[in-house]
Amino acid sequence: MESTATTELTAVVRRAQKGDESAQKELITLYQHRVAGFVYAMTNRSDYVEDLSQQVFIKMVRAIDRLQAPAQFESWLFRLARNTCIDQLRRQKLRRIFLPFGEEHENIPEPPGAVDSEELDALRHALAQLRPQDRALLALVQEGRSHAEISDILNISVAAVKARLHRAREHLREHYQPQHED
Amino acid sequence: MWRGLFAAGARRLRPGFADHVLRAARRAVELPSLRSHMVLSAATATVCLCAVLFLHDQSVDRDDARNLAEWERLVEIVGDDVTNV
Repeated sequence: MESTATTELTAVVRRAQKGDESAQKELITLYQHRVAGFVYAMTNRSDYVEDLSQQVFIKMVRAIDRLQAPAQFESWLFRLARNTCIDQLRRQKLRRIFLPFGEEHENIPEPPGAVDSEELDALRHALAQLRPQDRALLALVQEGRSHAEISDILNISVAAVKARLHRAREHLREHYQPQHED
Repeated sequence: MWRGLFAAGARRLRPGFADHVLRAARRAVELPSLRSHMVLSAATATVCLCAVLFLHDQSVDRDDARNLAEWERLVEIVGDDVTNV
């Protein structure tokens, strides 16, 4: 049986699919912080967060009428978010190949107040060492997606999700070094 | 920690983000999509190709008619010469 919250969400999604702007706004308001957090974990760039989150939600508004299973809305939204971030990271990589930018132009330090603690900074540093696919996997788990949902989002089997998740956690552990542990 | 990371990302959004997105989405709908750009480009290329083929065909027909007239004139001249001999 579907829970009340899921039923309500499905109803909002159906209204948004019919072009109801108040429903679309409700969905954006409901998910904006989760998507922004996911984008930050994926890109490690606070200056990308608003722009990429906006791209994700514009894609959502434009494509929501093609979503066949409104109950799968969350998985679908995070698939959009993941793909948008990976596209951005690919473009960034290409730009680095074609433009004679120095590394200092790509690794702009976070403005004061963007990073809360040493642990958070260490986590960001460790995540930056992982492949974007692995970052997406870890961020999706932290976002509360189940293995089955992640397998659907990434289009791989549940067993592959578990194996890749295990490897990604190992890599994260290798690179995670809070300064007070040195 | 992850919660802190997600919260740091969430704090990057300005107030009124949803309204801003909806306005941007409306503008994006008004702009022609990549698909419509491609369709227009393909249609333009087809029209240009048809025009080039038509003009080429006309030019070939005109050249053929002119060559034929030249040959007929030559045949007449040669025929007259043979008769005079």
